[in-house]
Amino acid sequence: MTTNLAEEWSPRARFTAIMAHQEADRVPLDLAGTALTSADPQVVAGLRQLLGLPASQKSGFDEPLMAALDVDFRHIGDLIGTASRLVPGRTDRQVDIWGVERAWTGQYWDIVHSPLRGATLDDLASYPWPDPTATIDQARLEQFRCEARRLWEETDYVVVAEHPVFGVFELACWMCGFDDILARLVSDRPFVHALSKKLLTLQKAYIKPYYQAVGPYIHLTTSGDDFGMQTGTFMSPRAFRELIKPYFAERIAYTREFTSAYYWHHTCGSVHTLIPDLIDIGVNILNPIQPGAHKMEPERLKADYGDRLVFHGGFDTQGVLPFGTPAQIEAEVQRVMAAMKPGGGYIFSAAHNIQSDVPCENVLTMLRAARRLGAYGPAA
Amino acid sequence: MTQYLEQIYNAVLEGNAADARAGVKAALAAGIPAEALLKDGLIAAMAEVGRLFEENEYFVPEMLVAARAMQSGLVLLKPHLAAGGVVSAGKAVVGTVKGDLHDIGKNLVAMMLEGAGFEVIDLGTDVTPDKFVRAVIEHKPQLIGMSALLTTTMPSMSSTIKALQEAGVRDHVKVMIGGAPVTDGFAKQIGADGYSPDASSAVRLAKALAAG
Repeated sequence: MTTNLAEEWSPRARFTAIMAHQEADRVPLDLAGTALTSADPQVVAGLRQLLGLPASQKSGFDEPLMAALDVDFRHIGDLIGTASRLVPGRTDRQVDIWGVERAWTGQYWDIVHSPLRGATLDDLASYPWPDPTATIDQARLEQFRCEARRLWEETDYVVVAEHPVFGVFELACWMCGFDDILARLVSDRPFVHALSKKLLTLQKAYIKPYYQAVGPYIHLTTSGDDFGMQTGTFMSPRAFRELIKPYFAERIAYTREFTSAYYWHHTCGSVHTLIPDLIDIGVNILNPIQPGAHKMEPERLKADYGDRLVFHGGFDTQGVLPFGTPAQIEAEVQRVMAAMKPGGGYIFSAAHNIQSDVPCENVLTMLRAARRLGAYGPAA
Repeated sequence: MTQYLEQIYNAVLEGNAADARAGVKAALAAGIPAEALLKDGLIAAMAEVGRLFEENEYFVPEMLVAARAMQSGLVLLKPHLAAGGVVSAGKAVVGTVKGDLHDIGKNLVAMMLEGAGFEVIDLGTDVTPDKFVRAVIEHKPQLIGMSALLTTTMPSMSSTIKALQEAGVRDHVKVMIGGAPVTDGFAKQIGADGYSPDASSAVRLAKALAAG
């Protein structure tokens, strides 16, 4: 896409300005700048075709596609524990390093067995926890370091480091089962504390070598942990503050011992009541701003927290993006930009990974409109 | 009678399964009719749980432990209800649709329906249209409740309604749907009888549909 803006800023200058809550030339754009703002391979293949790019052997989000879409972010890194292994004799079942078993259901690997369901404190003590020192691939870490350094020194893009380990609450949900751990938030708090302490210790063992390797060469880093549903938070704010916040806070603080990058956190759903807590523990950028969730409208979030938090996301993926007409998509981009872009503090992206039911034409319409309608000043 | 009902009501509200069981046992031993314990103890408490959830005072954890306390009391009550000829508020078949393994929303709806006096048959997750049809033929419910968390699995709700039509049983049952991406507009579009945004309002909808 060519630019008609009078002065085109570099992605880094653009990002620096909006992080300081100042306006740049336009709102930064993201698609596949993080693992949680990506798209299904079918959508990517369709985008490549629309843009006249050759088919790609890999995930499809190569440099020509990212450049053609004017994405300001490039990401490196990944979860650094050992990859999941297939269950012997099955191609549709796998077990991860935490012992959680998943089945392939056609679109996602969905959990079918949670190994700590019904567990006691004694079970926690005797559980076969992953051994970070034995399962971190050093060669892969070195690859991440080299790629981060290359992007840092040789390009103008905003360099994003993926999270090296899952979040404390999501791990508890997957290992115990959602209903099991949610009930324990009120009925068995000692267990939740014991599990969270153990998970935090393991998280730190992945965080340290990862950020020692990539920390000097990144502008922002991510974590993911869902605290909200469509209609509200999973748990009361009181339960969040007692049982999850302290462990999440320590993860962020520990990460900051190894990098001065901004901290970006992804939580789906309605988390309006938790935002002051997230700001309090050091989250700089909140994603995905699911606009259909309760009290997560861009207008409300900007009014309530826009001076203290940067927002990333905001474009509805539950209704407009998969099912909207081009005019509806354009109108929604206009609405989100009007609400979010004043005074900086906003990065545009779809409000989550784009699924296979989204027409690639809709994705391109969304990005083109965002590029144009995200402009500040006389060029807007 | 009041003190027994209060004990059961408070035990459910606080999610205390042991106290709920003890309360039911004591009340039955004291000769309190099972139907009264069900209606004014367990069901009344779950109605209050639902209200507190909709008011954002109770959250999923509180709802889960309350429902478990209710269920543990209901287990003790069931033989006495059957013996006393007490009928349920209706029968509901629930499930998460084909291709979708997400179940906590569906489980909460099932618990709340049971807490409102419905008999619930839970088909689990990844439920094909054919399985819903067979459940309607076998169990003859007043209601079907379908759940989906993904926009990509929502179409299965429409397929299920078509399957019910083709099997000639669509007008034997009311269909209600829910799940994060589901909307009232989608419900109307596919010919469902109703949509609810959460487990608590699902009970109100279920009662209205079962009565109609």
